[in-house]
Amino acid sequence: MQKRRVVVLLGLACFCAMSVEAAAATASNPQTGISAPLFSLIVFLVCTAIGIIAIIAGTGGGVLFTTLFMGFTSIHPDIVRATGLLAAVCGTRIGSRRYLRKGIANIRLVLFLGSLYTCFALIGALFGLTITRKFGDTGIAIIKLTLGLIVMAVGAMYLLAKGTAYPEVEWVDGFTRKLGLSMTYWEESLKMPIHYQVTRSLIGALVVCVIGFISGSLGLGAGWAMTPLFNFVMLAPLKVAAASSAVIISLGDTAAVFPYLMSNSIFPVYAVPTITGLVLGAEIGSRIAIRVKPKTIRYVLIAIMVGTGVKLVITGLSLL
Amino acid sequence: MKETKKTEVPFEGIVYGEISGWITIAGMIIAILGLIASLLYGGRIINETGLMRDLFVGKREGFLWARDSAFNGMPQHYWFFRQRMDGDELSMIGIIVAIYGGIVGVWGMFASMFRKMEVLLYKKGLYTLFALILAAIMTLAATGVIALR
Repeated sequence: MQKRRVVVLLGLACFCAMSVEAAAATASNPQTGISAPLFSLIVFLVCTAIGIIAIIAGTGGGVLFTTLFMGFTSIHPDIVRATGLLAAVCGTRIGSRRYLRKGIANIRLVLFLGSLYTCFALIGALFGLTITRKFGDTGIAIIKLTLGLIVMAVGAMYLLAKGTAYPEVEWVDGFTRKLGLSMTYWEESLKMPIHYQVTRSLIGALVVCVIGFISGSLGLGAGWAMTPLFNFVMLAPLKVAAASSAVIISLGDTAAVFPYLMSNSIFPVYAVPTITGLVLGAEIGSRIAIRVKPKTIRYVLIAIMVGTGVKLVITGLSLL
Repeated sequence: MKETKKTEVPFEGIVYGEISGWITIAGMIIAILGLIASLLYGGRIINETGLMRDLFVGKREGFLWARDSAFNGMPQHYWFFRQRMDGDELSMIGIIVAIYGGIVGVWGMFASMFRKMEVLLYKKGLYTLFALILAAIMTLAATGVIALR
């Protein structure tokens, strides 16, 4: 049964890549072309599949969406990045509602790191747009090459890293203590409150600035980096890490999407099916996730990431 | 002894989550309706057939707006409020509503911190200041003050 589900998900992943490439090939051919309703339908189906895989593997849909569309289509990076950020914003906002109502997201951590993330995501967005405008094809090559390398690194990180549900904090540094980030949330599965502390918030703050910049400039979202940072480095419980990360992305990427919006990089025929597909996929995925081993799905995700990363690096190098 | 008392959930977090979440959902619904209208009846602003062709050959947004839209060039920001409403404008308004949900939510969160002195002045008001910074950055980005010239 487990194997069958994995095969289905692997099939979904292949479907994503193949249909994106096939649609791109058909649409760019002046003889055949592609109709807008068919294009919207394909994007919607692909994004639903991406949403399912992403939520089960425990990453954001934004990273998969941006890499797949930048790797397998010739759509201009500004448009893909704008749509990727928009999808990350809408998806995380809907998830954040649940986390904040249950008090799982650490609101102090969100406000402290969220303001830094927002600043750097905005700077990243402005930087990303400048790169493609000033340097043309070379700029596109740089963006694709960087994205490919980052995605491969993320794939490797997923292969090596293991999350801890309740990491033990043995020592809290002075800076973190001064910020007063320790909080409590109600753990429904244990029917008891979990009192927790976090540590190394200064390192966390510096890394968040880098993540924000990457997210804004490449249109990736940041779930792929933020959750591991909070869980492995700052030692927040896994649920708190995932929830706080979602809320921070929903805040920071809102600011980052505006430079793209002001540049008119958002086209409804592309953006609307993307957002709805990813949100719907995440809803379906969260229901399937209970029955599927996330470890196996992670391998599917790693395969997609490394494969797409290699393709992006090759494309980037050929454009240089 | 096992603790069984539920913990208090920060109200400012709930305010942000509910406001931004519901506005985003509303925006998405408007955008979907707009897209359906535009696909069924054809939009007045964007020539979808041309857009599809040029999108997939990697043309940048300036070219797409110039060749495949009624503007024949880059439109002004928030162009969708200046036209007579049809599918294209409606779906774009939906997207804008969804994005703005976050800004309204952050201002709501900031305002809700004034509800309790203990929250407002926690760590000498540091977190209230963070909320204000967040709201200000987002508003400046939305108004185009922080944008690429």
